[in-house]
Amino acid sequence: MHLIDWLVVVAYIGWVIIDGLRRSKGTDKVDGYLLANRSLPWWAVGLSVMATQMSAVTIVGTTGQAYLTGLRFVQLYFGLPLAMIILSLTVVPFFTRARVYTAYEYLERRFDVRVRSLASLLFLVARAASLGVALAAPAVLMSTILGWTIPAAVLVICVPMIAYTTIGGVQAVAWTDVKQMFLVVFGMSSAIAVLLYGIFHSVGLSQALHLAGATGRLQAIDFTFDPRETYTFWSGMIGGLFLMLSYFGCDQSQVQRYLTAKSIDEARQSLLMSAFVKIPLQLLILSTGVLVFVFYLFQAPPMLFNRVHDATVASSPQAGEYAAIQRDFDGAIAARRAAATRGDREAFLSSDARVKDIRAKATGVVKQATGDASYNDVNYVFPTFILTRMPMGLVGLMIAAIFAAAMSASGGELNALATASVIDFYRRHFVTTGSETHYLLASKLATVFWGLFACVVATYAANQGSLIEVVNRYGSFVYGSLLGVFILAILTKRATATGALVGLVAGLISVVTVAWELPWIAYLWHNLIGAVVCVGVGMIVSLLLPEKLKTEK
Amino acid sequence: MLEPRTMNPEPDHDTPMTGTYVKVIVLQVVILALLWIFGRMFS
Repeated sequence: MHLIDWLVVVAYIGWVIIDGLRRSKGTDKVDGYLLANRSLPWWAVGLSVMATQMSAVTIVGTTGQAYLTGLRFVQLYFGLPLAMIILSLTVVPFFTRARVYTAYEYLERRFDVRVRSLASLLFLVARAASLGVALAAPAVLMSTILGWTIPAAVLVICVPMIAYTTIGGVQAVAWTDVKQMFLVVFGMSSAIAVLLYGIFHSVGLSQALHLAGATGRLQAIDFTFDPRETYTFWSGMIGGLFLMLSYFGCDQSQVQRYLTAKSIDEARQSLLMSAFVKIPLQLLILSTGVLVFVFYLFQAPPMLFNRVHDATVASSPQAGEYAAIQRDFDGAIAARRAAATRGDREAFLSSDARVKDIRAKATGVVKQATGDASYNDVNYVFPTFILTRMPMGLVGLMIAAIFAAAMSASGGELNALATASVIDFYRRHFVTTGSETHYLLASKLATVFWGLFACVVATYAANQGSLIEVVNRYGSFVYGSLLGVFILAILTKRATATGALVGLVAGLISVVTVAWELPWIAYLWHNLIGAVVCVGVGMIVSLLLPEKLKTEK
Repeated sequence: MLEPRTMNPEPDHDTPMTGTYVKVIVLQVVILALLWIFGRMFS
């Protein structure tokens, strides 16, 4: 990277810290620190909601996925608008009127402390692990593309984020998220402008779209009903609906965003902002990936985008084989470019298939030479484009945007972890009569603790590809059951505390069993299964044991 | 103990937003239709 790009990155990180310090005004009480005195406008909360959901992996992983498979990933979000309407009608007025700090506090009022503590514990375990992993992914990426060590990359992301979250609380998180969302959208729009400029040197818009469409990359909707397929219209509309209901309705990292809104109306508007904007925003990111594919039809792409193992392969017994594959790849790329330029669809498709085969062969050789069975270059497609094809200044801006996404997603989670641990455990079970100052200090210390914990997990997880998968799967085990327990709390009157507790445990067991015994079922369906089992078992237990519960109470 | 919460003048203001919900659904239907047509046009 050029010095100017480094200056852009450094200026951005410095600005984030200074702005976080400036936002610490009014956070000298717990209500201000954890809920911004319920004073934020809907548009700031709405942008913070979206920023918390958008991690660095969303930017680089989604563009890489679109480069390889096209727009179909957008189907994951098809259930989101309906989920936002349902949440606006149900949990938003409940949580806002209940004047709670955490979603789980409400469960104690409706059921008992056991249900609240278990739900909050599940959130803490899932979110703490995923926070570490969410930081590990961009750290690995940054260490590879910038040549840093993993701990250095983790620290560059974590130190500013922990600083502004600890000092400024939820207010600093929200206002930093607002700026970071603008930076991300501006960065992606700049990348699209550069891509279009490059593509239009070779072909017109119509031919570019026909080339992308010929490979199936513009087929965003798949109506087949197959539970083995992760992204279809149905898995997005049904499984995605339950995932979004769980995430935005039961996950403290999101609930805390809209608890900071001025009123029920403003909290609703903040969620409905995502309902309007999220799918178009996701299409913007995915379109960038598709445009990178079209761009590389006319400019020579690297055979593999993650070049970290190049030296290892070059000095391995497979070096000769790898060099031969590279020559084949160069020939296939030249043939594909010629076919694309003259608009020969059949020749283009056959040469594109050949490019794909050669890439698969090269990946196999890298895996064999390095022993890294999880080798994958999806996340390196977009960063490679940024570093090699974007003009000076914009490179720094895009790297800053990736940092921004990593920090904004993690800042909200860190803030939520501190809130749940202090409000649901420390204040509820350990120090029940502390002063305002005491709980404020505890919240700040909890933020620092979870921040350091996330750094350690991120540094460890960065070298454990399989661990990342396990943690991601764990999230899908928990969400459906948490949603089920909130459905029992808000939508039924007969559900009892024991029923909810048994339902929650039954939902968890059922999802783990399905994931273990029927691994071909795509993870989006786990949320539906967990919620349905939790509600079903919870209602049955509530109806069978009403008197016993009363006695226990 | 925690001090009483800072109250917003109208924190419980709860206006029906049926019109907004309808707009969300209409927008989603339009997006889905456009994506489907777009995919068919350039397949």
